[in-house]
Amino acid sequence: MTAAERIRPLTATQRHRLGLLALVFAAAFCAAAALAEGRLLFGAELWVQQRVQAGRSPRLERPMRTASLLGSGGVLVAAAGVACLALWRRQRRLSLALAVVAATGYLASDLAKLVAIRQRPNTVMWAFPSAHTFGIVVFLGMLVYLLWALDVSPGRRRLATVAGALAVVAVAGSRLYLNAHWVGDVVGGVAGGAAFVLAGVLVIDWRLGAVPAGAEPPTRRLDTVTG
Amino acid sequence: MAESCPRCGRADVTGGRCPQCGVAVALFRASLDKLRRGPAAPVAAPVSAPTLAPPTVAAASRRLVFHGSGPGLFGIQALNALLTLLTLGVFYFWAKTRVRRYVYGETELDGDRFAYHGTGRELLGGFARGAAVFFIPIALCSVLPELYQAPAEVKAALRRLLWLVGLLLVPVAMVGARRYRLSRTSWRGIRFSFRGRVREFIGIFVVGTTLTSLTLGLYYPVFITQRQAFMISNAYFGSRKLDFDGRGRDLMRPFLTMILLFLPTLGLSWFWFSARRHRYFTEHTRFGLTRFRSSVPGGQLAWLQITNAVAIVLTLGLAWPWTVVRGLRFTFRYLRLDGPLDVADVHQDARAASATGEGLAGLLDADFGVS
Repeated sequence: MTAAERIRPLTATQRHRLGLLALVFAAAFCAAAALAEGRLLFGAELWVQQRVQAGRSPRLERPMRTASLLGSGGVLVAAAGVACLALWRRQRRLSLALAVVAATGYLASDLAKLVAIRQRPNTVMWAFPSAHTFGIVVFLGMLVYLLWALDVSPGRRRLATVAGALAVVAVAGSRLYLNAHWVGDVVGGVAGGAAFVLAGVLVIDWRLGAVPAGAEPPTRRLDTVTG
Repeated sequence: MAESCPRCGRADVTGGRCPQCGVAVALFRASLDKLRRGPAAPVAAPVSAPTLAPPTVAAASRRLVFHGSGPGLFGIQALNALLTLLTLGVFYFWAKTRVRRYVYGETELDGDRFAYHGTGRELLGGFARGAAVFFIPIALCSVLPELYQAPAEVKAALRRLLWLVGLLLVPVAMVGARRYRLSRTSWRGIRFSFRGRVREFIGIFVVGTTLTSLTLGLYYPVFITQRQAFMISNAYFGSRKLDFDGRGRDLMRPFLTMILLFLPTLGLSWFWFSARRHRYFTEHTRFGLTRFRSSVPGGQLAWLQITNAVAIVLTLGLAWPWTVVRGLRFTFRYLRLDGPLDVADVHQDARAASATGEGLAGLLDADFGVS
């Protein structure tokens, strides 16, 4: 690994915090799955669904469908492909890591559906977790991490984080609005996606972020890198 | 034309939008309709709740569609097997529920899926109660005489009594399992139910079994038809019952033909009889004005069942999910519902049912062959 291909490593404290956070999200995902499988909060979920459906309006249909499209597999795969290509010349290993996380995230969101067997509000199967929400959390989580790892300015990172959070809320809300998921599915999607992306970040940091003995730590900022 | 708002109740809504609350009337009605079609909340029985809307009355031919896939069911089974091993078998009841949920949820009629509402906890409780019902007579009739060194005549009498108890437990389990499964099944949010009386079925079962034995099997077609008639004509979808108008003697000739050809065809004639029986039972089942039809061919059925059995043996059971999916697709391919499916006046009329019969059926390892 050349110095140029090295990325900003996490500190030990950051690694511990992220690990702990990943565990918390994984536990939240398991809890949401158990609640979904046992229909333990079904009354509350039905209440939310009824309120959301009662508020449907023609003006919101197209925006909601567009927001939902943001979290669909095709769009996320295409976006991950574009991000990989953009990174390829500067950080090949990071670009490959992004591709691996995107591919395994896609697979994981499908496999996670086996955890709880239940129908959507429109009676189609595979409700839990919402793969749209899972996917968008993984993709945007990776994007935020990349901006941090490549040392982009804090202002831009904050902007990207806020935009990413809004996009997650929009996708999650659209899935409820379009009657495609119960609220528990969406919560499970967010928790599962967050646990997955945090685990992915820790693996990437372990593989790419370590500073070999004697090597100088990377300090260049992305906006000063020319090639 | 003015109509009333389904949200706020304002009477003079024109142009499709309520001036008071601003809701788009058609869209609101459509979303209410979707809500109605969602899986129903757990029922307290008996209840009277929603009437189905919109009514489906067009006199077209309808088909059941199975959307499931072998890999999907395999994934569920793989996780089930893992969790059952990790929990030393306790997860088995939840595993059974997960498979049923998947199979029912992937079955569609007229644009809406069926739903299964049973839970693993119910099955576990049913198993515990069923085990008590199953093992107490065994303990009383077989273990205690040995412990107390009862005379041989007493032991023989108790063995016969045990056999009789076993004979009685089978129909009890069949009715209980049927009652439980139907009470946990819904379509468009309306539950099915089973209202047959156990005592009546015990009569049919004991007489049928005895006469089948005494006539060296010749009574079998009559027996299975009576059994089917009981199971179908006591089944309800919401407030409306299903009907069965088959007669056992109609199956007598195919049955005798099957027996005559059994040895020359090395047993293959059984498949043609099975297909004939399936078609007969299906075609004599009605739901209101809707009549079920089946055109299952004997040759195709033989091919399906033989290849499924071979696949299961060769893969040491791993092919089971694919055989299930194949079987369901096969059945639905040849099944149709003719006539208007008028469900406008069907309303929720769910009945409570315990899982004891289901647990007992599991213990007796009885696949009852009642569709």
